[in-house]
Amino acid sequence: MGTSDEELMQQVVGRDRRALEALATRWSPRILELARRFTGDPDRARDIHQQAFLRLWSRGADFSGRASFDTWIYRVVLNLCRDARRRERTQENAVEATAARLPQNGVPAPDAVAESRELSGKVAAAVGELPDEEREVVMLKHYGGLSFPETARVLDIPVSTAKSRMGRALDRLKRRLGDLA
Amino acid sequence: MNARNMDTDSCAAVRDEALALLYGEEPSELSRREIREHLAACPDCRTLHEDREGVLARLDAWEVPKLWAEELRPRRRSRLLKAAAAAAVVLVLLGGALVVAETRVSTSGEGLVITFGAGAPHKPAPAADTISRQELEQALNAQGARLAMAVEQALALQATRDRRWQADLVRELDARWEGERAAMVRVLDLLGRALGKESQVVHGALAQLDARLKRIQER
Repeated sequence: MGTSDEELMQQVVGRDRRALEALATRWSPRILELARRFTGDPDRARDIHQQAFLRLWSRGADFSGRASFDTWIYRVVLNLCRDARRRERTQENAVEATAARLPQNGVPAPDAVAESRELSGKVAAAVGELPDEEREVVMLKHYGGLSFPETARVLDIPVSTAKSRMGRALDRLKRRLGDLA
Repeated sequence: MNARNMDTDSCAAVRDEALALLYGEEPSELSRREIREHLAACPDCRTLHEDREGVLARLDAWEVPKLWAEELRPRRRSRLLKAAAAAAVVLVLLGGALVVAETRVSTSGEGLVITFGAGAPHKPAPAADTISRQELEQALNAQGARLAMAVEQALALQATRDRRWQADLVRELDARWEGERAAMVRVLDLLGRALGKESQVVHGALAQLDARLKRIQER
């Protein structure tokens, strides 16, 4: 039986970098995938992945051991994804505001973003359009593979709320994806 | 709950609880039997449940390219090398020789680097981190002041490498921001050209962007 994540985390707090490396080996794929889905951008996902481990190393003492390591690391990643999304929206707003101030005549209509016709792209877009609180549940529960109780702990909400948000998200996705085969 | 006595509340409860079944989890508020009975008796809930099941199947169509699989593979090799090098360093240190510090320094200086993401920055892997305080003290007692000095020097070098790694990280983040800025400049430049004239708005936006990036970098 190998060392548990929690034990490794205690070693990380004691500045053992091999423990950090072991955690990275275990968790990098999951963190990268989740961050990639959240951000839709591999570069941002790598940033988040990097920041997550930087935080784990520099602020590992915040891990009290009361929560499981899974809950703690997912919470870190989730917060980083939220920050990234906030920054992205701010930047988008700045560009949109600038464009809105420009005279409209003579400006060619922006070419529609080359949306993938693949089902994968449509699902990604539909999930991306969900309200944040529903999207986070879908990400953690469906794509992160957490149970409903784990999802609830990461988001710090009751299990019943996690389920109802998931239900609302699925109903919304049904309307958006309804025509797809 | 009586499945035949369906009302809005019981339908709502079953609908959310039934999601647990779709994921093979145990429902928390109702029993599996209660849920199944309700679904069997209530066509609305059954339809909704089947719809949700269908949506879940569609969610799996969203595939994220597993880039990290390729990214991690070469690093796994290097991790083995790093682990071997670190183990060797530990043995030498416990053997107690002045060479210890030099060995640690040269080994890590040649690339004992941990990488977590593609092109991500990188931690020098210090061999001494895994040596317990007690072991270190024994080694120090055995080898005397010369070894103590060597270890101190090694630890100081380790701290230097830490700082260097942090500086590398900051540089990489700066470079990434620069890349984003360049992309924004290109977009704004295209907008300006499309207008066929110099736009003060564009320049204003660039100035704002510069200021924001500066603030971010200063943070």
